[in-house]
Amino acid sequence: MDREYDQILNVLIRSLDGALPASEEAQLEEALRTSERLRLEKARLLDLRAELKDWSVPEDPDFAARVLSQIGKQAEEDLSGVIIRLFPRVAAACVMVLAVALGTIYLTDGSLMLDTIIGVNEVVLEEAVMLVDSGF
Amino acid sequence: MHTDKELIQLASKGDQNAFRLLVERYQQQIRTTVIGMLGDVPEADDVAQSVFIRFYQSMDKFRGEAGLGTYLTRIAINLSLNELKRRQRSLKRFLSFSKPEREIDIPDRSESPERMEKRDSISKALQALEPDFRTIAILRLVDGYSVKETAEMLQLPMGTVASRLARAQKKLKAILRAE
Repeated sequence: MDREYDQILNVLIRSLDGALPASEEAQLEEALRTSERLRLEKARLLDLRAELKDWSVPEDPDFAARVLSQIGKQAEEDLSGVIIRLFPRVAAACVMVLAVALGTIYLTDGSLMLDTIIGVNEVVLEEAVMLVDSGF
Repeated sequence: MHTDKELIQLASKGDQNAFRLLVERYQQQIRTTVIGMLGDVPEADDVAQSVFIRFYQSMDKFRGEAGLGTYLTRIAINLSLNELKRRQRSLKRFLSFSKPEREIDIPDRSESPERMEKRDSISKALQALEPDFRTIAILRLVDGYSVKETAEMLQLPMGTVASRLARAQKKLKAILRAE
C-alpha cells in the first residue's frame, strides 16, 4: 500500500514540474479524486514550493560598493604583482648591460679605475681647459 | 533604462557606474542563490562578491548566449560548490578544532519576526540537503529555472534533475513539517 502511495506521490511531484504522459496523468487524476491523503500532500507541496519561491535573503544596500572596492583592490594588487614579477628580469638585464659595459672598458683600456670608467683619463689638461672656456 | 548588453559594453570600457548598476540588478538573485547553497555564513558574502568579480574580470568572454542572470547563477553555483568542497576538506583537516559555524546576523528592520523565522527555517532545511540535491532545489524552486534549464546549467540529464528534485522536495517537506 505504502509503495503504491509512494509511486503515485512521485508522479504527483513530477506533475508539478512538467507535463506527464497521458496514462500517468489519468492515474494521478484518479488517485487525487479518491485519496484525501494525496490531496493534502499536493496542497503541502504547493505550499512548500510557494514558500521556496518567495524565499530570498534580506537586501544588502552596501553590497555593490563592497564589490567595487574589492575590484579596485585587486587591480592595485595586480599592478604590484606585475612589477614584482617583472623586477627580477629587469634587474638581470641591467646587471648584464653593466657587465658588458665594464668588460668592454676593461678590454679597451685595460683598467677598471673610476677615471677610466667615466672617460676622464682620455682628456688631457689643455683640452679640458679649452672645453671649459668654450662654455661646454 | 539600459539593457544588460548596453551596461556590459559601457562597463567593459571602464564605466564603473555601469558595472555598479549590473551588480545592483543581480545582487539579490545571486546572494539568494549563494546563501541558499552555503547558509548565512561570512563566506557566503565573499563568494557572492567573487561571482561579480569573476564576471568583471572576464566580461569580454560573455557572449550573451544565455541571459546574464543565468550566466551569473552558473558562476555562483560553481563557486558555492567549490566553497563546500573547501569547507569539507578543512573540516576533515581540523576536525578536532572545529567550532560550530558562525551565522551572520543581518539586521533588517523591515522584516517581521515571523518572516525572519520562516526564512531561517527554509535556509536550515536547504542546508540539510546534500549539495547535489540542494543545487537543484535552489535552481528550480528558489530561482525559478525550469527543469530543462536546470539540467542544461548543471549538464545533467533531465531525468536525473527530476528525480533529485522529487527527493529534495520530499526531504524539505519532512524537515519543515518536523519543525
